[in-house]
Amino acid sequence: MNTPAIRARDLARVHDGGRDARKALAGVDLVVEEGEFVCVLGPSGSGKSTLLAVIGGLDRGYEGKVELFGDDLGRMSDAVLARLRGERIGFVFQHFHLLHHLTVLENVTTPALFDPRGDEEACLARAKHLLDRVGLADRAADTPAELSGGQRQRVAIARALLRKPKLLLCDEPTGNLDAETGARIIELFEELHREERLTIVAVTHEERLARAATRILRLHEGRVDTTAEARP
Amino acid sequence: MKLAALVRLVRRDLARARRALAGSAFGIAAGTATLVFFLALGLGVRAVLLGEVFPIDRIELEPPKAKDPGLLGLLLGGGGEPPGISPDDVAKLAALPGVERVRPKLSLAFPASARGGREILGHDVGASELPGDGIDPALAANDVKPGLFVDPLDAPGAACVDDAGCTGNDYCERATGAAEGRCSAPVPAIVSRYLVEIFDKTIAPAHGFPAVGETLLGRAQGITFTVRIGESLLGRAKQGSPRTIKARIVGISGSATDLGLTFPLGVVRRWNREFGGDRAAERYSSAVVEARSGAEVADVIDAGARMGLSPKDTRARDVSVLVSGVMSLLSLVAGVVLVVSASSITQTFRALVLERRAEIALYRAVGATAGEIGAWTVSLAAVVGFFAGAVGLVVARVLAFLADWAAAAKLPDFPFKPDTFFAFPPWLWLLGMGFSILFSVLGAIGPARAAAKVDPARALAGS
Repeated sequence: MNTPAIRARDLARVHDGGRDARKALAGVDLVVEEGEFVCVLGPSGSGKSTLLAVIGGLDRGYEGKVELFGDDLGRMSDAVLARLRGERIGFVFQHFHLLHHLTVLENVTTPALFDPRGDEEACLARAKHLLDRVGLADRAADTPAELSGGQRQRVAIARALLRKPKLLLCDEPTGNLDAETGARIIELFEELHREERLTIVAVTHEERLARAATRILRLHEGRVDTTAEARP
Repeated sequence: MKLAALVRLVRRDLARARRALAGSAFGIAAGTATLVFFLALGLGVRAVLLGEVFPIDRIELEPPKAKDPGLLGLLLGGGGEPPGISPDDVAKLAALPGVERVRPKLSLAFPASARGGREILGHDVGASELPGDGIDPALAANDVKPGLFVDPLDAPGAACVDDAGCTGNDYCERATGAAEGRCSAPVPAIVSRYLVEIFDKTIAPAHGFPAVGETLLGRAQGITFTVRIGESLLGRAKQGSPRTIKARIVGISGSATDLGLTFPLGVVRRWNREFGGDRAAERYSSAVVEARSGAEVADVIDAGARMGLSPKDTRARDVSVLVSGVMSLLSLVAGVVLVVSASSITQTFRALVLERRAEIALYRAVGATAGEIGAWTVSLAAVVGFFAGAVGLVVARVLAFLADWAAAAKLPDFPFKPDTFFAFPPWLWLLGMGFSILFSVLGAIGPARAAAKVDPARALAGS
């Protein structure tokens, strides 16, 4: 039996806001097998982004247990967890988080800055290949300010793929895009899943992204609504 | 993270935040310039004062003064003789740890006066009282041309009864009571740089004489004086018959007595025996002890005290303490400037970290450790400190140059006026640069910790 890409047990996360402490996750159990494309749906405030941050190792203030490719995140030091994020996980954010003082190519190669074993020439070659893959080979020298929203998100996806991650975590990846642009991004995810066998977990409140997934989870008030789990 | 990646990150920061960084670097540069300027000034002044005026690495020890005989003692036969320093004491001093060498001195034990200098100054000048010492000629070997500073009677001339029996510039060296003497070249004498400075900067301008320092050094034959030994304006020696000899200044030496003439030891010993007796010829009047460093002088003084010897002059120590105190005070001022500057760095970097929370969070998401984020921030501060330090050092050097120029142009000549009031040894450059980087890094440590603690999940969600 293969080790799942993600295994979360009894996951809870309380956002400490003094008197207004709020339970973002309340006992989430989750298993994502390698190669799955899982979409987590839910209304605003249902805990989707928190779930993504916890399983991506960005948020360590949780209770319960999270395993990524069999490794318990809770037992990792900051440095080991950072290496795991760099080597195995790619992040795509709703707001792209591109660095505006850098060119498109420099943005894509940003993860290589923190790769202690990286080869600069190989990294550049891969970045150019990825830009070609997302249709932006001719915009490598431009800055993010010169790109449209959809193009920016494609740069962000290329950046997420630079170090050949096994898991792509996407937080509302089409949330800031118009319908047509969003559709093209969804097609790109489908291609990546199909051709690269990437495990993808995307949180969204958009049904059209969910239709591209192999499995849908619904979060409601910090819990997985098991009755709503579905395969499109 | 590889070093090349760190360099790339820092270079990008320098390019995009240069205004903010330049603002905070200004304070560090000012602090470094202040620190280096004052330290260089202190070191320069110290080098002149303690190297030439009051050498700190040497101390002149002398025996206790002769006891006051009181009125009855005077009536019964005069004061007691000064105890002096025996050759054994000199050997003991030379054997002390930290002592480089000992230069015993035999002061003239009789009155003397001098007159001469016409060939250089245009007319004779004189001293109605001439103090003088005798030293081992080897001690002036480095300052005087070989063969000039020796006892002329080591190679005595023809027998004579008066100067008329001698040729050239020679005179008849005929001791009291001797039936005949020997023709002798003028007795060589050396003078101190201190005396020459006093003459050139104070006496010569007042009387319209030319400065003699370089002239003395350049003339092999030197200035000739006639010296009356055994008698002066104030009185005459207890024994011996006063007579006139010739002396010639042959050089300037750090081994010479500050005020007066310094002769070869054998000459003074012979004269002292003639006019003061055997004891005056054998026991030294003082001993200059040269330590390996200024720090060891205190031990020499202690050891001398155990032998009944005391320092003749503690000005060197006093000046050293004064200069060190002033240097410390000025360095403290510079230190305060640096501390204030470090707080400016803190403010700038705190703002930078706050402004870049999302960027830091992104770096964390793509694999940066908290330590790498901290190292990035501290490295940026270190580079800012490096450039600020470089600017500060250049400013300090330029200010020193301007101060020297102003001093040369505006200040009147005075004894020991140096060409430069500043000293910039290599370690001072390194120290200035080190402090600049250190205070920049210290200022950035707090913000670096804050940067390392940025919560990536919250920062990425906050945009």
